[in-house]
Amino acid sequence: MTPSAAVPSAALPPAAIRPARAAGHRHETWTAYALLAPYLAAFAAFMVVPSAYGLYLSFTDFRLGSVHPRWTGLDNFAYVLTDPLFRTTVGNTVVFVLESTPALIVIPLALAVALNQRMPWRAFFRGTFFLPFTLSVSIVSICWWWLLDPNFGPVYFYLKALGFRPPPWISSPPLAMAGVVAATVWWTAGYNMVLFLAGLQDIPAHLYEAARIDGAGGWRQFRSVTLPLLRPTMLFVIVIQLIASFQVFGQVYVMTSGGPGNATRTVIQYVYETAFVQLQLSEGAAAAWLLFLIILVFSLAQFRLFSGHTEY
Amino acid sequence: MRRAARRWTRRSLLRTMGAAAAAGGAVRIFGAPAHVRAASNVTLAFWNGLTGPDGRVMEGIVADFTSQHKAIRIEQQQLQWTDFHTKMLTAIPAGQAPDVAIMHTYEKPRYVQSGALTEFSETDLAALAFQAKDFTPRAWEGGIYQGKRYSVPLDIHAMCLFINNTLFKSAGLWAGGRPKAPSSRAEFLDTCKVLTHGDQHGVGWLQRGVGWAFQMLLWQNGGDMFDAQGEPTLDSPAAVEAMQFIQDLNVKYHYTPEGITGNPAEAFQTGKIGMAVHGDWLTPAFVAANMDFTVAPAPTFFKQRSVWAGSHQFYLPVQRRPDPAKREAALVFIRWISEHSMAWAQGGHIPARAGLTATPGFKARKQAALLADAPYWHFMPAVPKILVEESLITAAQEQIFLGRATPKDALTALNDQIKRARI
Repeated sequence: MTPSAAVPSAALPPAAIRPARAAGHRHETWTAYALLAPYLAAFAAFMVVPSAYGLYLSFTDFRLGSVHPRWTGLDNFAYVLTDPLFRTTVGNTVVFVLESTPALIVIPLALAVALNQRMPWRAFFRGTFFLPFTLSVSIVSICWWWLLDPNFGPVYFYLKALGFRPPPWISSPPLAMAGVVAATVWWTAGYNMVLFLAGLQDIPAHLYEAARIDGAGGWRQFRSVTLPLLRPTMLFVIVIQLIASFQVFGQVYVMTSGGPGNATRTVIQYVYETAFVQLQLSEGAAAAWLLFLIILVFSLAQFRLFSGHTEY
Repeated sequence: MRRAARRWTRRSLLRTMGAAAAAGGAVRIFGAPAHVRAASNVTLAFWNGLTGPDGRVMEGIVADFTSQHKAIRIEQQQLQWTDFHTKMLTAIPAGQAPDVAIMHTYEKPRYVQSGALTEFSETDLAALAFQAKDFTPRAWEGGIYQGKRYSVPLDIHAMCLFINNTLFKSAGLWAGGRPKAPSSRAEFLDTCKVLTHGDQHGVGWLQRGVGWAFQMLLWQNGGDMFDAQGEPTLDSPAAVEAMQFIQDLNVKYHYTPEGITGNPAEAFQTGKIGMAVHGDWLTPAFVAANMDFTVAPAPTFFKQRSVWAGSHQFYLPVQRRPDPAKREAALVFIRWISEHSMAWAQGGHIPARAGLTATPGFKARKQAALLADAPYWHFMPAVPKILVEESLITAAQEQIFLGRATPKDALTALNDQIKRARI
């Protein structure tokens, strides 16, 4: 994923000059496919084929080692949908999405706007904010687990020094979820920041000049120029973020293992435990495809809400 | 020109970030190769779930073995038990099985169902020089499932009562050079009462869930986890009573710390709790912390004596391409560890070799006090759904601890959840 993918609509050449390019067009298309080929091969081998096979398994009674799985229709879907634990995990996942997505839009946007200004050490700050994203999920989660440790962690140390007496975070369902959200925001905000930075750099400077001449202040410029012109980037970031948030797993698994109680157990953890701990592989596949449907519905709703042409 | 240069810098920054992200992904996908084979020697993949302090002891034993057997290389992998079983049960059918593994006795049904285990033949046992008479009967029999021997024993590990000597002394619970260890429920509650004051508590659970302690209380109360068909009976009155007692220790008597804490063993080491009911395998951690403590037999909380126990056993998983040389080397490895399992006793466990537990060397160990419990050792039942129970019970208990469900409701929900699992 490259940042430039964030603004596909602006990259189309105006209709008037398209015919002039028609001659070289076919050649360019094949070049594009050739360049895409390595990725497409990997995508097909590791995404399309396994997903399709998973879809097939979700309609069977497949178990590890079974040679001829039987077709069981919607039985696995009924099993998952009548499972109280599945409903709990869907609820928890929605809570995580609602808590993490706004934070992962607002904070990266603020960082991007700030770091789009001319300032000393700008490249350093951009790199620093992006850096956590290059870490693996287990490292991030373990660091936060220690930071938040009620007995020796700095967070609780300073809270206590300031006179607060918070309960141990893993003991309280809302705090446990907040802890996971905090770790996630710290980890991935930099990636969204880069996407927003790319979007910001495609906004022509003359629009800001015009706004200034019209007497618009900083906030007014942000509201009337930046936000409307960031619309395509915004749509992309929100949809990508929503999908990523729905698939939360690593942070939760390492930091809370889904606890306390089932308070942070998410759908992916349900899928993982059903399929690979209890080895009910076909039921796990059904749960995974149900999650896909949920994400699809949310993504389509987002496109509905945010789409529309951006006028320059 | 200046402008162009700055522009380039900005672009290159973004590009560098993109490249860094891509590289990160690439490293995750194309990580280290799974197997790096030695050309002439035999390399054995050895997997186990010994992630506690006993895992360090096993590392030392493996190092000793390889220093004496130059032709055999051991690649050890240690994972948390839950992840361990996931890895094993998916790796074996995929032809990626380890050559040797350590598990307990109760997982056998699940593994046998998926055809993942090889039997120990008479020839194998002869190569090991293992005979029934040399082992504690309970551990020896634990290797057999449906009339077939799938594992050979390494140890017995049992639940015990860890006592903080310093706190017992200062509370006047000391006589004749040893702590007055409670052995009944009444004595236990009295001891807790004396020990609990300020931010100090009488007893603590040394894990987030208290699954094993609960199981022991259930057996002591005359109940069991599964019926003869292998279906769960965790909503029985005996189970609810056992769980209620655990809950009462917290909400009624306030003898255990509030809520769920991340590092309960730390609280015991630092003198925040006076007693802990847990498995003997935590012993080396407390020894390493230079703690003054005693390992005593677990009290009888209900109407009958029963002590939670288990046995680590060696397994030889099914190989896609069986290699006699590797199997032979694996048997050499198992035999050597078994014969040197006094070293393993440093991990807090009781060697399965009856001869070793009679030696002065073992008698001097803290866990020697647990040998008296031998007639009462109760292993977890070998039923397929035991692994489901293991993965769900912590959440159920946390619901109770947090006051989000009564013991009855939480256990009923847990029971339904295990019952509906289709395995």
